[in-house]
Amino acid sequence: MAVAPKVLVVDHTLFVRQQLNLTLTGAGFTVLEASDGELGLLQVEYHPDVAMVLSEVDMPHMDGLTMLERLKANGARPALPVLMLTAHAPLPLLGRAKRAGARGWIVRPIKPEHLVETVRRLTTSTATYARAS
Amino acid sequence: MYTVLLVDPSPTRDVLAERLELQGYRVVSTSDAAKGAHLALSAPPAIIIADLWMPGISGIQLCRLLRSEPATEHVPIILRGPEQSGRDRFWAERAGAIAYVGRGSMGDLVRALNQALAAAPPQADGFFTQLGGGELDLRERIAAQLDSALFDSVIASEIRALGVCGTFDRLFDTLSQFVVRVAGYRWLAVHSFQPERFAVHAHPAHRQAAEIEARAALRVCSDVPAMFVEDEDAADEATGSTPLFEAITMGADTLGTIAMGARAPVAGVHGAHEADLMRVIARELGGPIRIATLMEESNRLAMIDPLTGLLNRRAFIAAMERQIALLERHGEGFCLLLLDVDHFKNLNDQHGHATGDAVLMHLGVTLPACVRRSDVVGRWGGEEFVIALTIQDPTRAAARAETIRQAIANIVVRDSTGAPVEVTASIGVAAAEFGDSVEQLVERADKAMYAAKSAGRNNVTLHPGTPPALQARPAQVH
Repeated sequence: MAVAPKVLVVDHTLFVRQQLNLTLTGAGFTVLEASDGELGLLQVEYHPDVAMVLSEVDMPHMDGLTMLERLKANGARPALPVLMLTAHAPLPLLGRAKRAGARGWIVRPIKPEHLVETVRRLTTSTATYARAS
Repeated sequence: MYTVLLVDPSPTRDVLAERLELQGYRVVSTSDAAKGAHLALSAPPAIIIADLWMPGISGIQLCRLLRSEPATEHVPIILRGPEQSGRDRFWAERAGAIAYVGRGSMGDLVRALNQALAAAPPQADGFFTQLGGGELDLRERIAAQLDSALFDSVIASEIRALGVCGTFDRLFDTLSQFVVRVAGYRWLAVHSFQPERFAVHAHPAHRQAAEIEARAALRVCSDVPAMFVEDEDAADEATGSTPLFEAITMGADTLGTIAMGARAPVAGVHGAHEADLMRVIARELGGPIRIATLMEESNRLAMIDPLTGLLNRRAFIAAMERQIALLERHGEGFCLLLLDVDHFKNLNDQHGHATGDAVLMHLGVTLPACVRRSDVVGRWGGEEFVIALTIQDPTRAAARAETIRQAIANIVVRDSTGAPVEVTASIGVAAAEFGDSVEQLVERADKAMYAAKSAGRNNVTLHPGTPPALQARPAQVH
């Protein structure tokens, strides 16, 4: 039996986390939560089977881009797909996310079915996606 | 299998798509430019083909947008337009299209496509962007991009206009006045390599700290003096974020460096605007710096007598006018020495003009060596030299003149036959007085010099003018 892929949701707003949790759980994923970048890093460390990270950018304490950069720098999970999900998309930050190795940047609002489709694509196999592009 | 995104509102789109599929490409096609942009950003294809003329968003706009977006910055774009339009071709290239192909020839298009993909196989880093607000977000991004392009070209033209500043100092002052308005900073510094110059703009309260930070950022040695511009336009803040740094280039040469001590971030993530600004400035500043330093050099050359390396008559008069102004304002007196080489005409006739020139060149070295740095030495003309000594007391000035006379007498010059040439000079000394013009002062020194000549040459004569006591303390005369 296939195990439901684990998705880590990082956002400082409880409401946003709950919404994403509902959407993704409903689509058959297991959801972990963290309320800032530093806790997000801890969750990845505690759960080596996390298949993907979905993170807000603007967060107090440690923002999403810093978390992304630390995550890629510590080298434990180099292929772990990270997706930024936030309200704005200023070009310099997009560039920074890309350089740091993020897989994508989604601007809210996003339709739940689009999100599920994207998360599914990134959790099934990175190799499949590379071929398709 | 490569994916081609085809954005084309014309009815020929489907025919084109079929042709490309025959070539072995996977084709995603749309008639709408906004939809095309969304498709390109959310799943970057291997290559994009777009038409130049589309309702709503033009091919040029689409091209510029996709070039600037990290998700599609490396995706090649081919634009299609009217067959023979040089203007469209120009703008397509400027917008970053890899090729411009006439609409009529499908063969040209297929060739351009194959060539582009062979030259630069797509990079599959898979980064994508999904914009939530649909076409609205897209229009905002196009508008923002247009704004930033306009901003860049305005900044660039402002920087280029600095070419008229004439001197490095003035250039830096004008530059800082302009940059501080566009981006508030704690300090701004420019380091030019040749000639080596270093300038800093900072708030007066943080002058020292700014200089230390700027020297560290630009790696400027402590023996290069800093030119300072201080005012309240610079932020009154002791700390900020890491300095931004750019090399100032012109063609293949690096002319210098520029650094900015940016202010501390206001909220979360920041600094992109300042970094962009610095890039534009560094790219454009090379020309104005080169012009300013060349003008400085040519001005300097216009002040120097080429034979002796001393100030020429015009520059010396200007220096004396400044000295006289200081005398009148602050009572800082000085003395003028007028020096004439003895029997110079005979020397020329006997030993040749080359020997005469050699004597003058020797004086160009000997005279500055006998005086302090604050004293001014010039060639008055022919074999006459002038020295403005920042000494108030004429008898002390005459003593210094005596030292100079002896130094001249010790000069060893040999003519073309190797025979030693005797060099002596007669020196007249006059003290500057209140209400003096340059002519009056020179005239007194000249009279004293003639007295020295009449007294048998090779000696020093002091003009019997105002009593030394009064000259020494001119402020009390008032």
